[in-house]
Amino acid sequence: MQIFLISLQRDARAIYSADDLTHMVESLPGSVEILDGHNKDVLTVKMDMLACDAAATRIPFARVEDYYEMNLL
Amino acid sequence: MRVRLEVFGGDRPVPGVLVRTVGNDKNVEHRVVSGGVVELDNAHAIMAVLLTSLAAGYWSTIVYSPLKSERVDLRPLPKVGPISWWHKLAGVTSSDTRRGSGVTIGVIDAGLQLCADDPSLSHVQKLGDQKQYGVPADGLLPEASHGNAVTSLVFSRTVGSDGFQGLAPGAQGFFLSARLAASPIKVGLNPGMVANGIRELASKRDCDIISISAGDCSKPTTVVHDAVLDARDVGTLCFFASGNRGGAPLYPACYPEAISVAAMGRRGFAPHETVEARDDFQSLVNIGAEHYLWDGSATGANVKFIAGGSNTIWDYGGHAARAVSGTSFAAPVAAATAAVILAGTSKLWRSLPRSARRWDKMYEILVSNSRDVGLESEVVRHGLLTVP
Repeated sequence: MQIFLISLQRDARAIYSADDLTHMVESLPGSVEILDGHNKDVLTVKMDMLACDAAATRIPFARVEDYYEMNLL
Repeated sequence: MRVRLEVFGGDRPVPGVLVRTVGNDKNVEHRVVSGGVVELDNAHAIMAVLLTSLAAGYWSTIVYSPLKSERVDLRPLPKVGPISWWHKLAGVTSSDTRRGSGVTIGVIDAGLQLCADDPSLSHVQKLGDQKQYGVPADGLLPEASHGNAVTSLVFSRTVGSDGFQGLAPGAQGFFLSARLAASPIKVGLNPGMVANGIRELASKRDCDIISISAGDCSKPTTVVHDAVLDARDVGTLCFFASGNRGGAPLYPACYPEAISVAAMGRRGFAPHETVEARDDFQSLVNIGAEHYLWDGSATGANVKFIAGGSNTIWDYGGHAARAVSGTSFAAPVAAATAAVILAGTSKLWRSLPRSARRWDKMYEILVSNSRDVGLESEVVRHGLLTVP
């Protein structure tokens, strides 16, 4: 299980909503846990590789990135 | 062999002391102790001990080659508030708790644990769960006080000489936490929560200004950039710390729509014998006769403004808490100064619909209220925001 950031691409927002994104992520096969961002533009999601692979192919309007953090300055 | 240090401020033990040892790498410690008593193992390997009071109002000190048992006296921060050099630098010369009224500011940071019940910040509305961020029972971690410092520098309404006022205490304020409780990294902010937070503050809370003191990411923070663009579309200015690694700003401070802020300090403000005075000694770049460019500050043509951020003092419960340095503290000072400028020029922008056009007008007003401090535009593009 790894943490990822899943977000709507900006130009896809005319077609899909943040609610759509949450629904699609919750419907992925494998193990999926949304840690933050239900029904918002960016989801922080803990998921296994099965779900991660599926996210890339089943949610074409989304961007999937490995989790990282912004340093406090 | 062990070392025992008793850390005093006047005749009282100092609560909450951050201890960092310097010596053999295997023996480096970095921890917080309460009650003023520091006990360290492996004394033979310790070359020096750095002692920092987290919020009790003292300068930091270094004890070299500590004795087996030793008393250490910390020097108190100056009682020169509620207005000090970083206010005066921004054109604010007197105490006024209404300063900045009519403008709404949002701050996004890690948490507000220490000041959750601080009366000088009672007007700031906290969004998100403030207790989910992994802070230990004694509530004292440097990371935990970061949000308090940033928020205080903007909003604090303290009026006594013991403490320090924020630049815009009259502004309507929001604080939003963006630290992931389940983070595997635990060093900073979740970019996803920052992005969602920017949209919440800009679109739902009608913030005119947002201040974010995090960044230094080496790869693009695309989700944050998208949110900054969305904020621009509804007329919200997003201020960012320019970065603490020197050189050019990294992400997200380098994005053209990010209003990134470099840090400067005042020569001689920190007493020579304190750890904080190193900021002064290390900087070789003078700004006028009395100030310096903070050594770690990222600079470049993408850095829009500069503000006081080296040895600024945040307020906790009406008292000086700690002197802090970094672009983290220049960004909220600049954001709050911008609020004061915009509060005084609201006729020029408030009537415009919340849109990119309003953003452009507000930014234009800020640029026209910035002054040249002698740095090239390739170092800081516009200069120092100054209340007329």
